[in-house]
Amino acid sequence: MRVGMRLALALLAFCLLIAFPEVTKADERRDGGYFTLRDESGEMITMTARELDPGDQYIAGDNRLFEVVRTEGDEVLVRFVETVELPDVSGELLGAQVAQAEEGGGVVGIYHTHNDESYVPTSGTESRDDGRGDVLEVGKTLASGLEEQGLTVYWSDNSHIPHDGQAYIRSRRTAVELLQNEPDTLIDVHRDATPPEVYETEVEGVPATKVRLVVGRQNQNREANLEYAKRLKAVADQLYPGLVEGIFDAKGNYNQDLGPKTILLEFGAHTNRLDHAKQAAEFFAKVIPAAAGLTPSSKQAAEEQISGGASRSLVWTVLIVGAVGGAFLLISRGKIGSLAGFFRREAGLGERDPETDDDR
Amino acid sequence: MPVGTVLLLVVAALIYFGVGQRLLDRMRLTDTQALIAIALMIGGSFITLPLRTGRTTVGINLGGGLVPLGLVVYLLIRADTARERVRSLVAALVTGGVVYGISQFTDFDPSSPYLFIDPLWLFSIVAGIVGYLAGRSRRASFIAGVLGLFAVDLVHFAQALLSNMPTRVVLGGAGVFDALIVSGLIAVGLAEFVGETRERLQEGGEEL
Repeated sequence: MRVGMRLALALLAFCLLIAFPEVTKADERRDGGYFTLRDESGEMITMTARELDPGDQYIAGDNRLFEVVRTEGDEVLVRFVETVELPDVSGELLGAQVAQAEEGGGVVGIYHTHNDESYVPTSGTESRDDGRGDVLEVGKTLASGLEEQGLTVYWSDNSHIPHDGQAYIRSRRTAVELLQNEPDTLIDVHRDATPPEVYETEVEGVPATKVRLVVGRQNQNREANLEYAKRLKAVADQLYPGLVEGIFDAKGNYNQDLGPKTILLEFGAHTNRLDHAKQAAEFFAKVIPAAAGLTPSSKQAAEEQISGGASRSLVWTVLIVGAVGGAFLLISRGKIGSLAGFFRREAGLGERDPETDDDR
Repeated sequence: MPVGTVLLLVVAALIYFGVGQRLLDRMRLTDTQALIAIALMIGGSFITLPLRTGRTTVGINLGGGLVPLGLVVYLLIRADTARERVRSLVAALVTGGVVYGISQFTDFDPSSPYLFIDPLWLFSIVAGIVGYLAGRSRRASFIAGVLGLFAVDLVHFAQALLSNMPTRVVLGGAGVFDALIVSGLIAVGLAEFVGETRERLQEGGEEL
Protein backbone atom coordinates (compact mmCIF):
# COMPACT_ATOMS: atom_id res chain seq x y z
CA MET A 1 0.00 0.00 0.00
CA ARG A 2 1.32 3.42 -0.88
CA VAL A 3 2.27 5.87 1.85
CA GLY A 4 -0.34 8.35 0.69
CA MET A 5 -3.05 5.73 0.89
CA ARG A 6 -1.98 4.74 4.39
CA LEU A 7 -1.99 8.35 5.49
CA ALA A 8 -5.40 8.87 3.98
CA LEU A 9 -6.77 5.85 5.83
CA ALA A 10 -5.27 6.97 9.11
CA LEU A 11 -6.68 10.46 8.63
CA LEU A 12 -10.07 9.02 7.76
CA ALA A 13 -10.07 6.99 10.98
CA PHE A 14 -9.10 10.12 12.88
CA CYS A 15 -11.89 12.18 11.32
CA LEU A 16 -14.45 9.46 12.01
CA LEU A 17 -13.45 9.29 15.64
CA ILE A 18 -13.67 13.02 16.09
CA ALA A 19 -16.86 13.42 14.10
CA PHE A 20 -18.80 10.55 15.60
CA PRO A 21 -17.70 10.10 19.19
CA GLU A 22 -21.25 9.20 20.18
CA VAL A 23 -21.33 6.27 17.77
CA THR A 24 -18.45 4.67 19.53
CA LYS A 25 -19.50 5.66 23.04
CA ALA A 26 -19.83 2.62 25.24
CA ASP A 27 -20.78 2.43 28.85
CA GLU A 28 -18.72 1.65 31.88
CA ARG A 29 -21.69 0.59 33.91
CA ARG A 30 -22.11 3.99 35.41
CA ASP A 31 -25.64 3.84 34.07
CA GLY A 32 -26.87 2.11 37.18
CA GLY A 33 -26.32 -1.25 35.52
CA TYR A 34 -24.13 -4.00 36.91
CA PHE A 35 -23.12 -7.57 36.21
CA THR A 36 -24.23 -10.62 38.13
CA LEU A 37 -21.76 -13.50 38.34
CA ARG A 38 -23.43 -16.93 38.38
CA ASP A 39 -21.90 -20.38 38.33
CA GLU A 40 -23.11 -23.34 36.23
CA SER A 41 -25.82 -24.19 38.77
CA GLY A 42 -27.23 -20.66 38.65
CA GLU A 43 -25.93 -19.73 42.09
CA MET A 44 -25.27 -16.01 42.37
CA ILE A 45 -21.62 -15.51 43.31
CA THR A 46 -21.43 -11.72 43.41
CA MET A 47 -22.24 -8.55 41.51
CA THR A 48 -19.95 -5.91 40.13
CA ALA A 49 -19.90 -2.94 37.80
CA ARG A 50 -16.49 -4.12 36.67
CA GLU A 51 -16.54 -5.45 33.13
CA LEU A 52 -15.13 -8.95 32.98
CA ASP A 53 -13.50 -11.00 30.29
CA PRO A 54 -13.17 -14.75 29.81
CA GLY A 55 -10.21 -15.89 31.86
CA ASP A 56 -10.62 -13.28 34.58
CA GLN A 57 -10.73 -14.89 38.00
CA TYR A 58 -12.56 -14.16 41.22
CA ILE A 59 -11.84 -15.42 44.70
CA ALA A 60 -15.14 -15.19 46.56
CA GLY A 61 -15.54 -14.37 50.25
CA ASP A 62 -15.55 -18.11 51.05
CA ASN A 63 -12.31 -18.58 49.08
CA ARG A 64 -13.91 -20.40 46.16
CA LEU A 65 -12.04 -19.52 42.98
CA PHE A 66 -14.14 -18.91 39.87
CA GLU A 67 -13.13 -18.22 36.31
CA VAL A 68 -15.18 -16.14 33.91
CA VAL A 69 -16.47 -18.22 30.99
CA ARG A 70 -18.54 -15.65 29.10
CA THR A 71 -20.75 -12.61 29.50
CA GLU A 72 -24.32 -12.52 28.18
CA GLY A 73 -25.95 -9.16 28.73
CA ASP A 74 -25.75 -8.41 32.42
CA GLU A 75 -25.04 -12.01 33.38
CA VAL A 76 -21.53 -13.38 33.69
CA LEU A 77 -21.18 -17.15 33.64
CA VAL A 78 -18.35 -18.35 35.85
CA ARG A 79 -17.05 -21.85 36.49
CA PHE A 80 -15.82 -23.13 39.81
CA VAL A 81 -12.10 -23.93 39.66
CA GLU A 82 -11.06 -24.83 43.18
CA THR A 83 -11.13 -23.65 46.75
CA VAL A 84 -8.09 -21.47 47.33
CA GLU A 85 -6.03 -21.96 50.43
CA LEU A 86 -5.09 -18.58 51.80
CA PRO A 87 -1.82 -18.13 53.70
CA ASP A 88 -2.04 -19.22 57.33
CA VAL A 89 -1.55 -15.96 59.18
CA SER A 90 -2.90 -17.02 62.58
CA GLY A 91 0.59 -17.19 64.06
CA GLU A 92 1.38 -13.68 62.86
CA LEU A 93 -1.50 -11.98 64.62
CA LEU A 94 -0.74 -12.81 68.20
CA GLY A 95 -1.49 -10.35 70.98
CA ALA A 96 -0.49 -6.74 70.83
CA GLN A 97 1.69 -7.25 67.77
CA VAL A 98 -1.36 -7.05 65.55
CA ALA A 99 -1.47 -3.29 65.54
CA GLN A 100 2.13 -2.57 66.37
CA ALA A 101 3.92 -1.54 63.26
CA GLU A 102 7.64 -1.17 63.54
CA GLU A 103 8.42 2.33 64.64
CA GLY A 104 9.18 4.44 61.61
CA GLY A 105 9.50 1.25 59.61
CA GLY A 106 6.41 1.33 57.51
CA VAL A 107 5.43 3.72 54.75
CA VAL A 108 2.11 3.64 52.88
CA GLY A 109 1.03 5.61 49.82
CA ILE A 110 -2.66 6.21 49.11
CA TYR A 111 -4.24 7.89 46.07
CA HIS A 112 -7.49 7.97 44.11
CA THR A 113 -7.55 7.44 40.35
CA HIS A 114 -11.30 8.17 40.31
CA ASN A 115 -11.40 11.02 42.79
CA ASP A 116 -14.90 12.00 41.62
CA GLU A 117 -16.53 8.83 43.03
CA SER A 118 -19.19 9.45 45.67
CA TYR A 119 -21.88 7.70 47.69
CA VAL A 120 -25.44 8.61 46.65
CA PRO A 121 -27.22 8.10 50.02
CA THR A 122 -24.78 10.53 51.64
CA SER A 123 -24.19 13.24 49.10
CA GLY A 124 -26.96 12.69 46.58
CA THR A 125 -24.62 12.05 43.67
CA GLU A 126 -22.47 9.20 42.48
CA SER A 127 -19.83 11.45 40.96
CA ARG A 128 -18.72 14.98 41.73
CA ASP A 129 -17.70 17.10 38.77
CA ASP A 130 -15.36 19.17 40.91
CA GLY A 131 -13.35 16.07 41.71
CA ARG A 132 -13.96 16.28 45.45
CA GLY A 133 -15.76 12.94 45.64
CA ASP A 134 -16.66 11.23 48.92
CA VAL A 135 -14.10 8.56 48.14
CA LEU A 136 -11.42 11.03 49.25
CA GLU A 137 -12.89 10.85 52.76
CA VAL A 138 -12.53 7.08 52.70
CA GLY A 139 -8.88 7.34 51.70
CA LYS A 140 -8.28 9.93 54.39
CA THR A 141 -9.86 7.69 57.02
CA LEU A 142 -7.67 4.81 55.88
CA ALA A 143 -4.63 7.08 56.13
CA SER A 144 -5.53 8.22 59.66
CA GLY A 145 -6.10 4.63 60.78
CA LEU A 146 -2.67 3.64 59.52
CA GLU A 147 -0.99 6.66 61.09
CA GLU A 148 -2.53 5.78 64.45
CA GLN A 149 -0.57 2.56 64.26
CA GLY A 150 2.71 4.37 63.79
CA LEU A 151 2.99 4.11 60.04
CA THR A 152 4.02 7.02 57.85
CA VAL A 153 1.31 7.68 55.29
CA TYR A 154 1.45 9.78 52.15
CA TRP A 155 -2.12 10.40 51.06
CA SER A 156 -2.70 12.25 47.80
CA ASP A 157 -5.96 13.95 46.88
CA ASN A 158 -4.62 14.85 43.43
CA SER A 159 -7.40 15.15 40.90
CA HIS A 160 -7.44 12.97 37.80
CA ILE A 161 -10.78 14.02 36.35
CA PRO A 162 -12.39 13.62 33.93
CA HIS A 163 -13.29 10.00 34.68
CA ASP A 164 -12.27 8.80 31.21
CA GLY A 165 -9.91 6.36 29.54
CA GLN A 166 -6.90 8.50 30.37
CA ALA A 167 -7.62 8.64 34.11
CA TYR A 168 -5.15 5.85 34.92
CA ILE A 169 -2.50 7.52 32.78
CA ARG A 170 -2.98 10.73 34.77
CA SER A 171 -3.07 8.93 38.13
CA ARG A 172 0.11 7.10 37.14
CA ARG A 173 1.88 10.41 37.64
CA THR A 174 0.52 10.66 41.17
CA ALA A 175 1.50 7.05 41.85
CA VAL A 176 5.07 7.71 40.69
CA GLU A 177 5.19 10.83 42.84
CA LEU A 178 4.16 8.76 45.85
CA LEU A 179 6.76 6.12 44.98
CA GLN A 180 9.45 8.70 45.61
CA ASN A 181 8.62 8.30 49.32
CA GLU A 182 9.52 4.60 48.99
CA PRO A 183 6.21 3.23 50.28
CA ASP A 184 6.01 -0.39 51.39
CA THR A 185 2.59 -0.56 49.81
CA LEU A 186 0.71 1.66 47.37
CA ILE A 187 -3.09 1.73 47.48
CA ASP A 188 -5.59 3.12 44.96
CA VAL A 189 -8.90 3.67 46.80
CA HIS A 190 -12.16 3.36 44.83
CA ARG A 191 -15.79 2.42 45.23
CA ASP A 192 -17.85 0.00 43.10
CA ALA A 193 -21.26 0.54 41.47
CA THR A 194 -23.64 -2.28 42.47
CA PRO A 195 -26.85 -2.60 44.49
CA PRO A 196 -26.15 -1.84 48.16
CA GLU A 197 -26.67 -5.38 49.48
CA VAL A 198 -23.53 -6.65 47.73
CA TYR A 199 -21.35 -4.62 50.07
CA GLU A 200 -23.59 -4.17 53.15
CA THR A 201 -22.33 -5.95 56.23
CA GLU A 202 -21.86 -5.73 59.96
CA VAL A 203 -18.45 -6.26 61.46
CA GLU A 204 -18.30 -6.72 65.22
CA GLY A 205 -21.88 -5.47 65.32
CA VAL A 206 -20.98 -2.23 63.57
CA PRO A 207 -22.48 -1.44 60.13
CA ALA A 208 -19.82 -1.12 57.45
CA THR A 209 -19.30 -1.80 53.78
CA LYS A 210 -17.30 -4.74 52.57
CA VAL A 211 -14.04 -4.24 50.71
CA ARG A 212 -13.14 -5.75 47.35
CA LEU A 213 -9.55 -6.17 46.21
CA VAL A 214 -8.53 -5.86 42.57
CA VAL A 215 -5.32 -7.22 41.11
CA GLY A 216 -4.40 -6.36 37.51
CA ARG A 217 -3.28 -9.31 35.40
CA GLN A 218 -1.50 -7.35 32.69
CA ASN A 219 1.80 -6.55 34.36
CA GLN A 220 4.90 -8.26 35.62
CA ASN A 221 3.96 -7.84 39.30
CA ARG A 222 0.70 -9.76 39.04
CA GLU A 223 1.86 -12.83 40.99
CA ALA A 224 3.37 -10.80 43.81
CA ASN A 225 0.31 -8.57 44.03
CA LEU A 226 -2.00 -11.56 44.01
CA GLU A 227 -0.08 -13.07 46.93
CA TYR A 228 -0.34 -9.72 48.69
CA ALA A 229 -4.10 -9.63 48.05
CA LYS A 230 -4.43 -13.13 49.48
CA ARG A 231 -2.54 -12.04 52.58
CA LEU A 232 -4.81 -9.01 52.95
CA LYS A 233 -7.85 -11.28 52.76
CA ALA A 234 -6.32 -13.84 55.12
CA VAL A 235 -5.58 -11.21 57.77
CA ALA A 236 -8.99 -9.58 57.31
CA ASP A 237 -10.72 -12.97 57.59
CA GLN A 238 -8.97 -13.52 60.92
CA LEU A 239 -9.49 -10.04 62.37
CA TYR A 240 -12.80 -9.02 60.82
CA PRO A 241 -14.59 -11.99 59.23
CA GLY A 242 -16.85 -10.87 56.40
CA LEU A 243 -15.05 -7.58 55.77
CA VAL A 244 -13.56 -8.69 52.44
CA GLU A 245 -16.07 -9.39 49.68
CA GLY A 246 -13.50 -11.03 47.41
CA ILE A 247 -10.52 -10.61 45.12
CA PHE A 248 -10.72 -9.88 41.40
CA ASP A 249 -7.73 -11.03 39.40
CA ALA A 250 -8.77 -9.20 36.29
CA LYS A 251 -7.60 -7.86 32.98
CA GLY A 252 -5.87 -4.53 33.25
CA ASN A 253 -2.76 -3.01 34.72
CA TYR A 254 -4.12 -0.40 37.15
CA ASN A 255 -0.59 1.02 37.37
CA GLN A 256 0.39 -2.09 39.30
CA ASP A 257 3.39 -2.53 37.01
CA LEU A 258 4.99 0.17 39.16
CA GLY A 259 5.76 -2.23 41.95
CA PRO A 260 4.83 -5.26 44.01
CA LYS A 261 2.37 -4.65 46.86
CA THR A 262 0.37 -2.20 44.78
CA ILE A 263 -3.35 -2.83 45.12
CA LEU A 264 -6.73 -1.38 44.20
CA LEU A 265 -9.38 -1.42 46.95
CA GLU A 266 -13.09 -0.84 46.49
CA PHE A 267 -14.91 0.33 49.59
CA GLY A 268 -18.59 -0.36 48.98
CA ALA A 269 -20.62 0.92 46.06
CA HIS A 270 -22.22 4.24 45.15
CA THR A 271 -25.44 2.93 46.71
CA ASN A 272 -23.84 2.50 50.14
CA ARG A 273 -23.36 5.19 52.76
CA LEU A 274 -20.14 7.11 53.14
CA ASP A 275 -20.00 6.56 56.92
CA HIS A 276 -20.20 2.80 56.34
CA ALA A 277 -17.37 2.97 53.84
CA LYS A 278 -15.32 5.03 56.30
CA GLN A 279 -16.00 2.43 58.96
CA ALA A 280 -14.68 -0.23 56.60
CA ALA A 281 -11.57 1.90 56.05
CA GLU A 282 -11.02 2.05 59.82
CA PHE A 283 -11.18 -1.73 60.02
CA PHE A 284 -9.04 -2.24 56.96
CA ALA A 285 -6.34 0.05 58.34
CA LYS A 286 -5.78 -2.61 61.00
CA VAL A 287 -5.45 -5.30 58.35
CA ILE A 288 -2.77 -3.69 56.20
CA PRO A 289 0.26 -3.67 58.57
CA ALA A 290 0.31 -7.42 59.16
CA ALA A 291 -0.62 -8.26 55.57
CA ALA A 292 2.14 -6.06 54.17
CA GLY A 293 4.68 -7.47 56.62
CA LEU A 294 5.04 -4.24 58.56
CA THR A 295 4.71 -5.82 62.01
CA PRO A 296 7.56 -7.73 63.64
CA SER A 297 5.61 -10.99 63.74
CA SER A 298 4.49 -10.84 60.10
CA LYS A 299 7.60 -9.53 58.40
CA GLN A 300 9.29 -12.81 57.54
CA ALA A 301 6.18 -14.69 56.44
CA ALA A 302 5.02 -11.77 54.28
CA GLU A 303 8.43 -11.50 52.64
CA GLU A 304 8.50 -15.22 51.87
CA GLN A 305 4.99 -15.32 50.42
CA ILE A 306 5.14 -12.14 48.38
CA SER A 307 8.69 -12.93 47.32
CA GLY A 308 7.49 -16.31 46.07
CA GLY A 309 4.97 -14.54 43.86
CA ALA A 310 7.64 -12.12 42.69
CA SER A 311 9.95 -14.99 41.78
CA ARG A 312 7.25 -16.61 39.66
CA SER A 313 6.69 -13.24 37.96
CA LEU A 314 10.40 -13.00 37.41
CA VAL A 315 10.51 -16.35 35.62
CA TRP A 316 7.59 -15.32 33.39
CA THR A 317 9.13 -11.95 32.64
CA VAL A 318 12.44 -13.49 31.65
CA LEU A 319 10.71 -16.20 29.57
CA ILE A 320 8.54 -13.71 27.70
CA VAL A 321 11.39 -11.31 27.04
CA GLY A 322 13.56 -14.25 25.98
CA ALA A 323 10.88 -15.52 23.58
CA VAL A 324 10.28 -12.10 22.03
CA GLY A 325 14.00 -11.40 21.79
CA GLY A 326 14.61 -14.86 20.31
CA ALA A 327 11.87 -14.41 17.74
CA PHE A 328 13.28 -11.05 16.78
CA LEU A 329 16.79 -12.43 16.42
CA LEU A 330 15.48 -15.27 14.30
CA ILE A 331 13.66 -12.83 12.07
CA SER A 332 16.54 -10.39 11.79
CA ARG A 333 18.92 -13.22 10.90
CA GLY A 334 16.61 -14.11 8.09
CA LYS A 335 15.90 -17.75 8.96
CA ILE A 336 12.17 -17.20 8.92
CA GLY A 337 12.62 -14.90 5.96
CA SER A 338 14.02 -17.65 3.75
CA LEU A 339 11.26 -19.98 4.85
CA ALA A 340 8.60 -17.38 4.20
CA GLY A 341 10.21 -16.57 0.88
CA PHE A 342 9.86 -20.20 -0.15
CA PHE A 343 6.16 -20.16 0.61
CA ARG A 344 5.75 -16.79 -1.07
CA ARG A 345 7.39 -18.06 -4.23
CA GLU A 346 5.33 -21.24 -4.16
CA ALA A 347 2.17 -19.21 -3.71
CA GLY A 348 3.20 -16.90 -6.53
CA LEU A 349 2.98 -13.75 -4.40
CA GLY A 350 4.39 -10.45 -5.62
CA GLU A 351 7.82 -9.03 -5.04
CA ARG A 352 8.72 -6.12 -2.81
CA ASP A 353 8.20 -2.53 -3.83
CA PRO A 354 11.48 -0.72 -3.15
CA GLU A 355 9.78 2.66 -3.68
CA THR A 356 7.77 2.41 -0.49
CA ASP A 357 10.17 0.24 1.45
CA ASP A 358 12.03 2.96 3.22
CA ASP A 359 12.15 1.76 6.80
CA ARG A 360 14.75 3.50 8.81
CA MET B 1 12.57 -6.00 50.76
CA PRO B 2 12.23 -9.68 49.82
CA VAL B 3 14.91 -11.07 47.54
CA GLY B 4 12.43 -12.21 44.88
CA THR B 5 10.86 -8.78 44.82
CA VAL B 6 14.22 -7.03 44.56
CA LEU B 7 15.27 -9.36 41.73
CA LEU B 8 11.99 -8.78 39.94
CA LEU B 9 12.41 -5.02 40.18
CA VAL B 10 16.05 -5.18 39.08
CA VAL B 11 15.31 -7.41 36.09
CA ALA B 12 12.26 -5.35 35.09
CA ALA B 13 14.35 -2.17 35.31
CA LEU B 14 17.24 -3.71 33.36
CA ILE B 15 14.90 -4.90 30.63
CA TYR B 16 13.05 -1.59 30.46
CA PHE B 17 16.15 0.57 30.37
CA GLY B 18 18.11 -1.90 28.28
CA VAL B 19 15.40 -2.10 25.66
CA GLY B 20 14.96 1.67 25.90
CA GLN B 21 18.63 2.29 25.25
CA ARG B 22 18.66 -0.20 22.37
CA LEU B 23 15.62 1.40 20.75
CA LEU B 24 16.99 4.92 21.05
CA ASP B 25 20.19 3.58 19.61
CA ARG B 26 18.31 2.53 16.47
CA MET B 27 17.22 6.08 15.78
CA ARG B 28 20.39 7.70 14.58
CA LEU B 29 21.59 8.23 18.15
CA THR B 30 24.96 6.87 19.11
CA ASP B 31 25.28 4.42 22.01
CA THR B 32 26.53 7.22 24.22
CA GLN B 33 23.77 9.61 23.22
CA ALA B 34 21.14 6.95 23.89
CA LEU B 35 22.63 6.23 27.31
CA ILE B 36 22.77 9.92 28.15
CA ALA B 37 19.13 10.30 27.09
CA ILE B 38 18.11 7.38 29.33
CA ALA B 39 20.15 8.78 32.23
CA LEU B 40 18.54 12.21 31.78
CA MET B 41 15.10 10.62 31.71
CA ILE B 42 15.77 8.74 34.94
CA GLY B 43 17.45 11.65 36.73
CA GLY B 44 14.94 14.17 35.44
CA SER B 45 12.01 12.05 36.67
CA PHE B 46 12.47 13.62 40.08
CA ILE B 47 12.13 17.18 38.83
CA THR B 48 8.84 18.78 37.86
CA LEU B 49 8.80 22.39 36.73
CA PRO B 50 5.58 24.28 37.53
CA LEU B 51 4.22 26.21 34.57
CA ARG B 52 0.97 27.49 36.01
CA THR B 53 -0.61 27.48 39.45
CA GLY B 54 -4.21 28.04 40.45
CA ARG B 55 -7.37 25.98 40.20
CA THR B 56 -6.03 24.22 37.12
CA THR B 57 -2.34 23.73 37.59
CA VAL B 58 0.12 22.57 34.99
CA GLY B 59 3.71 21.52 35.13
CA ILE B 60 6.18 19.55 33.07
CA ASN B 61 8.43 16.79 34.30
CA LEU B 62 12.03 17.02 33.19
CA GLY B 63 12.63 13.31 32.61
CA GLY B 64 9.18 12.33 31.37
CA GLY B 65 8.37 15.50 29.43
CA LEU B 66 11.22 17.80 28.49
CA VAL B 67 13.83 15.15 27.64
CA PRO B 68 11.61 13.12 25.27
CA LEU B 69 10.35 16.33 23.69
CA GLY B 70 13.95 17.45 23.28
CA LEU B 71 14.71 14.14 21.59
CA VAL B 72 11.78 14.65 19.26
CA VAL B 73 13.04 18.12 18.31
CA TYR B 74 16.53 16.68 17.76
CA LEU B 75 15.15 13.95 15.52
CA LEU B 76 13.07 16.45 13.57
CA ILE B 77 16.06 18.70 13.02
CA ARG B 78 18.18 15.79 11.85
CA ALA B 79 15.52 14.40 9.53
CA ASP B 80 16.81 13.84 5.99
CA THR B 81 14.09 15.65 4.13
CA ALA B 82 11.31 18.13 4.70
CA ARG B 83 8.95 15.37 3.62
CA GLU B 84 10.08 13.17 6.47
CA ARG B 85 9.56 16.04 8.92
CA VAL B 86 6.07 16.71 7.66
CA ARG B 87 5.24 13.02 7.66
CA SER B 88 6.41 12.68 11.26
CA LEU B 89 4.35 15.66 12.37
CA VAL B 90 1.26 14.43 10.53
CA ALA B 91 1.80 11.00 12.10
CA ALA B 92 1.91 12.66 15.52
CA LEU B 93 -1.29 14.55 14.81
CA VAL B 94 -3.08 11.43 13.64
CA THR B 95 -1.79 9.47 16.64
CA GLY B 96 -2.99 12.17 19.03
CA GLY B 97 -6.39 12.23 17.35
CA VAL B 98 -6.85 8.48 17.43
CA VAL B 99 -5.71 8.17 21.05
CA TYR B 100 -7.92 11.06 22.11
CA GLY B 101 -10.83 9.59 20.17
CA ILE B 102 -10.39 6.22 21.86
CA SER B 103 -10.14 7.77 25.31
CA GLN B 104 -13.48 9.47 24.64
CA PHE B 105 -15.18 6.23 23.52
CA THR B 106 -16.08 5.59 27.04
CA ASP B 107 -15.05 6.31 30.58
CA PHE B 108 -13.75 2.78 30.52
CA ASP B 109 -11.86 1.08 33.24
CA PRO B 110 -8.92 -1.06 32.31
CA SER B 111 -11.47 -3.87 32.64
CA SER B 112 -13.68 -2.62 29.82
CA PRO B 113 -14.72 -5.36 27.35
CA TYR B 114 -13.98 -2.92 24.55
CA LEU B 115 -10.33 -3.16 25.45
CA PHE B 116 -8.18 -6.21 25.22
CA ILE B 117 -5.52 -4.57 27.26
CA ASP B 118 -4.97 -1.83 29.83
CA PRO B 119 -5.29 1.76 28.51
CA LEU B 120 -1.63 2.43 29.27
CA TRP B 121 -0.48 -0.34 26.95
CA LEU B 122 -3.36 0.18 24.52
CA PHE B 123 -2.66 3.84 23.90
CA SER B 124 1.01 3.10 23.52
CA ILE B 125 0.36 0.30 21.05
CA VAL B 126 -2.16 2.40 19.14
CA ALA B 127 0.37 5.22 19.02
CA GLY B 128 2.93 2.72 17.79
CA ILE B 129 0.73 1.26 15.06
CA VAL B 130 -0.66 4.59 13.87
CA GLY B 131 2.76 6.20 14.16
CA TYR B 132 4.35 3.43 12.11
CA LEU B 133 1.59 3.34 9.49
CA ALA B 134 1.64 7.08 9.05
CA GLY B 135 5.34 7.63 9.60
CA ARG B 136 6.85 4.47 8.10
CA SER B 137 10.12 4.76 9.99
CA ARG B 138 11.54 4.21 13.46
CA ARG B 139 12.16 7.88 14.01
CA ALA B 140 8.76 8.97 12.77
CA SER B 141 7.15 6.33 14.99
CA PHE B 142 8.97 7.64 18.05
CA ILE B 143 8.00 11.20 17.21
CA ALA B 144 4.38 10.16 16.66
CA GLY B 145 4.29 8.15 19.90
CA VAL B 146 5.69 10.92 22.08
CA LEU B 147 4.12 13.94 20.39
CA GLY B 148 0.79 12.17 19.92
CA LEU B 149 0.33 11.53 23.64
CA PHE B 150 1.73 14.97 24.41
CA ALA B 151 -0.99 16.46 22.19
CA VAL B 152 -3.64 14.50 24.12
CA ASP B 153 -2.29 15.92 27.37
CA LEU B 154 -2.47 19.40 25.88
CA VAL B 155 -6.09 18.85 24.87
CA HIS B 156 -6.87 17.71 28.41
CA PHE B 157 -5.14 20.77 29.78
CA ALA B 158 -7.05 23.08 27.44
CA GLN B 159 -10.34 21.44 28.41
CA ALA B 160 -9.51 21.74 32.09
CA LEU B 161 -8.56 25.38 31.68
CA LEU B 162 -11.65 26.30 29.68
CA SER B 163 -14.02 24.64 32.14
CA ASN B 164 -12.05 25.87 35.16
CA MET B 165 -11.65 22.27 36.25
CA PRO B 166 -9.86 21.76 39.58
CA THR B 167 -7.21 19.42 38.30
CA ARG B 168 -3.51 19.08 37.94
CA VAL B 169 -1.86 18.32 34.65
CA VAL B 170 1.77 17.28 34.84
CA LEU B 171 3.10 16.65 31.37
CA GLY B 172 5.21 13.51 31.53
CA GLY B 173 4.67 13.51 35.30
CA ALA B 174 5.38 9.80 35.75
CA GLY B 175 8.92 10.48 34.60
CA VAL B 176 10.65 7.65 32.84
CA PHE B 177 7.54 5.47 33.41
CA ASP B 178 5.18 8.00 31.86
CA ALA B 179 2.87 6.98 29.03
CA LEU B 180 4.68 9.52 26.87
CA ILE B 181 7.94 7.56 27.00
CA VAL B 182 6.33 4.10 27.13
CA SER B 183 4.40 5.08 24.02
CA GLY B 184 7.47 6.39 22.17
CA LEU B 185 9.45 3.25 22.96
CA ILE B 186 6.64 0.86 22.03
CA ALA B 187 6.16 2.81 18.81
CA VAL B 188 9.77 2.53 17.76
CA GLY B 189 9.85 -1.10 18.98
CA LEU B 190 6.91 -1.93 16.74
CA ALA B 191 8.48 -0.09 13.84
CA GLU B 192 11.66 -2.06 14.39
CA PHE B 193 9.87 -5.38 14.70
CA VAL B 194 7.42 -4.85 11.84
CA GLY B 195 9.96 -3.16 9.61
CA GLU B 196 12.58 -5.82 10.18
CA THR B 197 10.08 -8.62 9.66
CA ARG B 198 8.80 -7.09 6.43
CA GLU B 199 12.29 -6.56 5.13
CA ARG B 200 13.26 -10.14 5.92
CA LEU B 201 10.10 -11.59 4.47
CA GLN B 202 10.64 -9.66 1.28
CA GLU B 203 14.33 -10.47 1.13
CA GLY B 204 13.42 -14.11 1.61
CA GLY B 205 11.17 -13.83 -1.41
CA GLU B 206 13.91 -12.27 -3.49
CA GLU B 207 16.57 -14.74 -2.53
CA LEU B 208 14.73 -17.65 -3.99
